[in-house]
Amino acid sequence: MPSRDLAAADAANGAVTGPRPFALFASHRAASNIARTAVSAFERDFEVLFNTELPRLQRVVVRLSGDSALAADVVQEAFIRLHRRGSLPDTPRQWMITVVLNLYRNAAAKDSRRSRLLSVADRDSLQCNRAPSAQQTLESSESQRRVRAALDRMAPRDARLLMLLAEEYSYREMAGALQLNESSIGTLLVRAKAAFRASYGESDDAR
Amino acid sequence: MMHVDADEIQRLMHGESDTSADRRARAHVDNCDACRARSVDARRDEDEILTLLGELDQPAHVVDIREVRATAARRVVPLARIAAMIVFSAGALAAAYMAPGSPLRRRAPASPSTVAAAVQPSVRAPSEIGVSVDARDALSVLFAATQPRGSAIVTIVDGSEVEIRTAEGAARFTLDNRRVLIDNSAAADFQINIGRRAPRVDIRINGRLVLSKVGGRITTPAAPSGDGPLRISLRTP
Repeated sequence: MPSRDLAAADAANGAVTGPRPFALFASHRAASNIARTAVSAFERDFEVLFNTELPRLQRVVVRLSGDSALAADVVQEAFIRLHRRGSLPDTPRQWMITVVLNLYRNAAAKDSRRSRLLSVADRDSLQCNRAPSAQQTLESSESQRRVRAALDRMAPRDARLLMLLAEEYSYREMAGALQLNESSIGTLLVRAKAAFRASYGESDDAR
Repeated sequence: MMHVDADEIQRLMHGESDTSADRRARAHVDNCDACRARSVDARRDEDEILTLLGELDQPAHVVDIREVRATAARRVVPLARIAAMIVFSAGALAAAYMAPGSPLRRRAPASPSTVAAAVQPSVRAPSEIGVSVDARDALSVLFAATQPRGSAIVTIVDGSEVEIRTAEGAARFTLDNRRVLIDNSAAADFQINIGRRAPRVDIRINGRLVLSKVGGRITTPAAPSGDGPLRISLRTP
């Protein structure tokens, strides 16, 4: 491999000769400048992704959990992890929704969270507390309760598929996020929608 | 053609149809009253379900990007401490290596690693400048800019280390968390050796991804040179 003695080259160019410190220990200012250049590009991309993906990610978790505070926590944690990563993955949208769904699954698995997530009574209470007097809101709460009950009866995978469909994720992104075969997504969506219909019908019967 | 099945209707409805079979199915639906009616029903059914899911929406809590960045930065601090300990240990090792009669000299392999290179200045100015990183986690190699000339020769080698050095010219290398930042403002040629066991390595030039190694899969537009290594141009595309 061709190489060149830098000290000799410097001498030929009239530079001050002497031991050249190893580059890893080079001047801090120069290193900082390089770091800033690379980091600023990442920060710019990160901000664009943050602004475009935040609303849809929050919506997915809110619809799955019924807990907007939890949704904010989960989505914020996912963005923190992305920022710590230091570079965008090849498929940032898929990476983000995968991390968000994993974090949500872990959070939902905790007992304290589970009781908070699955207690329909608590949820209704929270919703009533938000707007106790408006008839329209009460009707909306009843509708929410029925949809929530329908989702809770469904297989988690089917419910998540519907959420991703609602947010217009591609089949490839759905398959990546839920560890499914992309070619089976169409069939699974048909089943998930049928399952929701059946489950929602049960909610209807229960009224 | 036979009537399209439910899966095909979904694919057509969601714009996921890109094969010739999908195009035939699209043409069939356009000309078949029964299949068109099923498509319309499927669309209406989906719209109703999505409207119902919208009932679950709530006002979102605010997530502040400044807080995200600040928290991410705070969590990096322990890693920085670990890095400092590693550098300190490397320094101690280098000192031990330099000690007269040190047994380390007989045991240490000849390699342009950071440790070995760190002791070079007191002996002689290095003719090749470089850095070696044990990349057991993801590693990004970031060239700060494109160059008027020059290239990087990438070779896959045994082990998990990623070794980067100038083959000709000068550059400055900085380790920053899981990134190697390269100031290549003075045009140079580089040699990059990537260990097969390094799980994930990205190489970027001014933010542009030019090589991605994920496990055993390497994605790059660069063509292999005669004897196997990849030559990545550092020039402005």
